[in-house]
Amino acid sequence: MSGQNDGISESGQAEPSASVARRPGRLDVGEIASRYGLPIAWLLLILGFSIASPDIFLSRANFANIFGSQAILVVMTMGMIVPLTVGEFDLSMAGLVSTCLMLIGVLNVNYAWPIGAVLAAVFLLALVVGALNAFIVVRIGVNSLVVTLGMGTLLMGAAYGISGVGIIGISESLTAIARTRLFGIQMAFYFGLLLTLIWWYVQRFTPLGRNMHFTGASPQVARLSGIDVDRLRAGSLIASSLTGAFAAMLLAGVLGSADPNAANGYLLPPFAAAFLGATAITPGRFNPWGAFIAVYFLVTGIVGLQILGLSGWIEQVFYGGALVLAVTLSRIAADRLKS
Amino acid sequence: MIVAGPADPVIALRGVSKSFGTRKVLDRVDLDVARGEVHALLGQNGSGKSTLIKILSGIYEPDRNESGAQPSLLLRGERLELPLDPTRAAAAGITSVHQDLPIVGSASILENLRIGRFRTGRGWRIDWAGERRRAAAALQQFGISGEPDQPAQGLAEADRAMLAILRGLQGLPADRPGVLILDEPTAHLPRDGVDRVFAAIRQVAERGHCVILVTHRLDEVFAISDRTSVIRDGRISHVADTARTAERELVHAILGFELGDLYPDHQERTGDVVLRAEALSGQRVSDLSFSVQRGEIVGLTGLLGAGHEEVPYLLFGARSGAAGKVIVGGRTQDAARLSPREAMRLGMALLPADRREASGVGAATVRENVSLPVLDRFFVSGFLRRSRERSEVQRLLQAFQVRPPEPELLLSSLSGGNQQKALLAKWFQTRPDILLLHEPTHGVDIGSRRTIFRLIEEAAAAGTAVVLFSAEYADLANLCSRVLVMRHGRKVAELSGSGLSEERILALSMMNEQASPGGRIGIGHGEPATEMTP
Repeated sequence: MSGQNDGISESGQAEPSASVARRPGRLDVGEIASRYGLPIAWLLLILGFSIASPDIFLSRANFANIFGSQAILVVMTMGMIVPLTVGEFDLSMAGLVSTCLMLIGVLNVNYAWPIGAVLAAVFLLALVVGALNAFIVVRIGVNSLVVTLGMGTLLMGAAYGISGVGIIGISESLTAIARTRLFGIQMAFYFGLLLTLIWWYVQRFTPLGRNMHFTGASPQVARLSGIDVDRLRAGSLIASSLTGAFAAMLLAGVLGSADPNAANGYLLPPFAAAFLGATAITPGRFNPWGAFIAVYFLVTGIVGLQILGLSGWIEQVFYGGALVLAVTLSRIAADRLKS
Repeated sequence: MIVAGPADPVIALRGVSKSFGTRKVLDRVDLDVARGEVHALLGQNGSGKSTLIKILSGIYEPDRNESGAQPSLLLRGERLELPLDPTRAAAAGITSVHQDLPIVGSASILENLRIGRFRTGRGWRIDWAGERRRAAAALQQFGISGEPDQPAQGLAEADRAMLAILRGLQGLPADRPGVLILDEPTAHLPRDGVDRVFAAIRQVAERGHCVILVTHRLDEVFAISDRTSVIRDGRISHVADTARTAERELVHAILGFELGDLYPDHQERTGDVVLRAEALSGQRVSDLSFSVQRGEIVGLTGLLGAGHEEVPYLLFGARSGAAGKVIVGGRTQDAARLSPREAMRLGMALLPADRREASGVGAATVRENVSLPVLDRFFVSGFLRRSRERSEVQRLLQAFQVRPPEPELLLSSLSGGNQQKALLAKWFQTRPDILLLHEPTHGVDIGSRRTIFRLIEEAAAAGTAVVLFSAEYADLANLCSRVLVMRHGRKVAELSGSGLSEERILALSMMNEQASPGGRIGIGHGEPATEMTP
């Protein structure tokens, strides 16, 4: 797991010593910069695009689009940071979302299963995949990066096996759940927000969250402190799979159709958002609000650039570039603070 | 006492100050070391000695004085520009071996020894045959029992320490005197390992190099050093020939006041048996049986590899491959089925020796580390009550004399002794019936040691059964009512009453060992193997 630990300890250096550790009642410029750098950058981005394109970017419809369209990414990112917190990767989520999506389409449309039964089947599949990942990683002891990457590739292929072509006509009760607008924004957004809140509660206000953090920081210390490390590792992999099924459900609802290519673009972005989010709010730790802001920072940037006339290629360039840049800046800031 | 230094020092450091933020860690410090001299550098945790050697090895920059004399460094009469950087320090022949023994376990002994210095033959190929031959000779010379191609993780602690020193030696120039800085090289070593490290240090000094030895152990200072400097609160409080210095004088220079008795008065107590091991076996331990009573302090010791360092982890269910029975409060447990979680539920607590890997998380705050085993106490009606947690931890830090008693600092920002006191607090607060302490005072300064000993005695007086797993024979003789000595995984003696003394423990540990001091052993420091390998 050295890869992940390295990644997080890089940004973990953002609080190198007494100077950055939280001390109540004192204002510390360095601390504010490291905690709120990302939200500030997001606001600056919004400001910049608003000036560049006041008519289109600064419209209500555009913001509804920004928040609503990428809710799937928020859901998947929340799923992703659960195993990351305990020191495990889950790269099988994008593949799982694809398979679940196709399963929803085929069972609901081609086989005319009622949507309730379809969703039960999909969550059952996710449970099986998560349990299998957990068994191989925790019980057998294989590196989760390798196992879940393989599992994800397998599932990505299985999605095409279920149906090579898109399926339209998914149950309206599902599309209604995802598409209904509240304050002009699709319901999918509120599901993402809800998940962020739940995970924030778990991480910040429960012993479970603290135990998970210690498991990720040092499995040895955690185990010797009476924490059931293996159970947390296994549970987190199952949780991320179930979140993947939930993302597939939302995706099917938003799209109203199932396409084997629909989730292909979701392999890297949740990852980028998780790591980017770990540089903010609670620097050095994977945290839900950091990740939430990271997702919308990335989406805002891409939408803004697209409005300015940059076409499809910009997406990946921005995802990748922003991640590398943000992690680098937070590292430089940490080193500056130290000396 | 401050006595003038040698007339013709190899290394002369003048007027070095260093501040971190507003805190002044070093204040106009001078240091002189002569050719062939072993210079001991002492001071409490946080006194500034580590900062001083980091400036010497080019890791930290000394402060520039706004007025007056600038810091200076003379090496072999030549002026070296400060700040140094690690590369220039190495090129000048200043080489240091850090406390954490930077050995890569999965790499071979040869690779660890020569990394960065491999000699190459034609086409930049490494001359493996030659490297291997020279490494084998060096290993033999220093009595490291291992083959060049063997992975370094199989080495015993003492051999790892020797290997790190050997690598440091290779950075010393061959034709002129260099400077070897050793930062607590013996911190994790038992007595026989210490003797070997000392023999190596003497060899280095005899070749004309300077050795700067940072240590907490006063007996070592008297055994090996020619001169001694003590740093207190960032200033040199004492520098003199070691032979002309009394131990009391040193302790006073370190602390700034009289220590009083290092060890608390020990009360003999007897009570019900609360912990019993029956036919306990592990990787190294075989068929070990013993029992501990309420309120008793029992020591378990031996040479490195004797097996005593494995026992706490077997009792705590932290090691696979255990066999035998652990009986706690009358309830019999199968050692193979025990887990740390279960052990805690039975009323046990374990303070591991490996502070960084097994005991605490440096990147988490002191509060988070200390409250970890009792988090549920602060989880009230669905929410973790942080302010309650913070004030409780703060109270504990004060009671355990942690400096500074600041719960929101990162654990890693405390000095070693203070980290250890905080981690003791972590376990003491669980109010265990049985407290297993593995080398609780390693890398801890003398003032903190005294505090820790008192805390241990207090816990025992309150009825806790304490088992001390340690190779500090003097501590055992003074703190314990009984000491079990192990050899080759078996209990060979039990000392108590007038039969219990440092000399007896040493003699019994060493018996039949003279033939092969520090023989190679397969196990490491006693941490359970939960880490995953990629």
